[in-house]
Amino acid sequence: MPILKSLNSFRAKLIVGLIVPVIIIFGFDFYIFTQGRQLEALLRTAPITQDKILTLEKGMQNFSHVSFFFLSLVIIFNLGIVIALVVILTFSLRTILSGIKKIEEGDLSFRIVLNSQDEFGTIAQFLNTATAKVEVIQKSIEQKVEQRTEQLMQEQARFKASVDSLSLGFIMTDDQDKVVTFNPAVEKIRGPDNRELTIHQLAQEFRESLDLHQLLHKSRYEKKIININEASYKDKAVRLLIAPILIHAEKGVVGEEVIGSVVLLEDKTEEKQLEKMKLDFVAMAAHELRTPITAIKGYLFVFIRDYKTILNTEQTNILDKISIATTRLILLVENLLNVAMIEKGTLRIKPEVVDWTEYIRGIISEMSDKAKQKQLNLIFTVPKVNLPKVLVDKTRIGEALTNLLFNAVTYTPAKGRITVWAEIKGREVITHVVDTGIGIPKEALPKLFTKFFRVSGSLEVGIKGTGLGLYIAKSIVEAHRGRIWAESEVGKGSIFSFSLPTSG
Amino acid sequence: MQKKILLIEDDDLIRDLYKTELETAGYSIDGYATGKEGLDALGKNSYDLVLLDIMLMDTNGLIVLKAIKANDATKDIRVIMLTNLGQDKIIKSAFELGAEGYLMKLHMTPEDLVKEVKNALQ
Repeated sequence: MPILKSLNSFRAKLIVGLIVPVIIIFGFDFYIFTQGRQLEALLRTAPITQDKILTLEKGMQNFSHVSFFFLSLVIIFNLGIVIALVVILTFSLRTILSGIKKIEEGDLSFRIVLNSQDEFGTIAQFLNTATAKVEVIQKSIEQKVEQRTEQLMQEQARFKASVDSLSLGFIMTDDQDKVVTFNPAVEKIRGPDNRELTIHQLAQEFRESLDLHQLLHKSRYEKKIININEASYKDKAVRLLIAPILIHAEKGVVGEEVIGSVVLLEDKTEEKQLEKMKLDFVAMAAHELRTPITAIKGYLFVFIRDYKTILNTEQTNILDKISIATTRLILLVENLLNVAMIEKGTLRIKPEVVDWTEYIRGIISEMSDKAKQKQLNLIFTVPKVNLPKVLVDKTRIGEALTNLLFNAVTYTPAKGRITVWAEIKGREVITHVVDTGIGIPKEALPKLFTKFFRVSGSLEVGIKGTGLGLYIAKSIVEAHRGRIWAESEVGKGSIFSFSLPTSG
Repeated sequence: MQKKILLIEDDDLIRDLYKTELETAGYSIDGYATGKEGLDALGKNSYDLVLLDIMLMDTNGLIVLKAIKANDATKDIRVIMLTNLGQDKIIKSAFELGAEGYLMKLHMTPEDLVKEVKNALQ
């Protein structure tokens, strides 16, 4: 059908299909008309001869033949046209549809090949152009996605490398305690030959020292970081930090929504061993010091007792000073030993029922020489009502009270006053040590009872100390289920108080 | 009759201090620096009381205590530990092994020791 194809629209094809039969019918009409006029003219001329009849008959026969011929021509032509159009229509639609299907399946590089100039050709061309445009857009999107994915992967790889190179164990979980990721340090802390890392498994391994499930839940629920300074884990000591992962879902920054947890594990075994070695050394050294001090103290006692009567005032004075220095030395050594015990967790309390008024009186008389030496007035205000008995370890609580008194004596200038008094409050006996000393700055008060803490400036004013006395006093008082606190005003003095439960 | 005391203490100064003080109080004192010398003396002489240090040069006082209590000839002699070790578990072991008393040297005067000895020998 090259002619039909060359007609550049489907409408044109239809028109041709209609016009051609009309022309044929017109041609037929024209033939009938001219032939009919000839026959009519023949009939009008008389007479009617045999020849005329024959001519008429032949003319009629011709009519019939020509009619048949033309009718057949019209039918054949129209049939041809219809078939051709149906073939073209089917072919074009099929080509376009299969093209659309391919494109729909994702092959954006596919182009519909339809070499016709009709409407189908236009549709195919339009589809091809549209697909090409989509292909270009898709390629650029793909490229961008690829770039971004690569960037993300690089970032992720960097993040993973950072986490993996940490010596801290790092575990990330979702909000259902399912492990999302963890680093090699975790496996190192867990040791070889381990089952798969799950929070359940880890909680099992921690069960002797803490409840991991509960801590994770608490941290997420309260949106708070939980720090466990030391927990025993297998044969190790570890530090545990549990933090909720908080996110702002839309902005992708830290927000309020909890999506999981991070658990950090730090192996503190070695550090703890070193600490233990240090404490053992301190304890050993302090113990070794006890032997020569025992000798000094003993000989001094015997000497003063046996020669008191023949010594002059100056000699006695010197010996008193040696006595005071020895007492201070003993307190220092005992403090070192106590710290080692507190740190190792071996400080034990052996309580007995004690008459507190009598006990304080005894401790104060031991300190009175030292106070007198510094021209301080050390007074014990005996309570008006009888104090109930207390349940204390006499040696330990004596060390606590001695430390408080020693501080009062040290930090109170000459001619000052130190008053000790006690009162009952509820089921507790509260003891106060009040001095008229240099006082403690407000900002130092909260840290006063921490280990090695020294009020800044105390070195400058020339007063010695290890920063252990109050820490020890606090540990001892707390081991008795008591509390200790301080009030002070710079230049006016300090009040140190501690409570002890009564024995009843 | 004069009571006889065996003093096993490795520090010369402290041993002399206690020896003099106890002798002044009327006791007869044999002082030795090592566990071995102390046990040898126990084999030769009879004593009413042993004052026993724990950290000795050659051995541990608790081992000496165990040896004293394991020997039928010496098991009835009273033993008072005289030391500067204050750990609970050592004190506990000493009493479990049969010590009569446990004294911390640093926290007492020589007079206190005499009082304790007097109490133990009454």
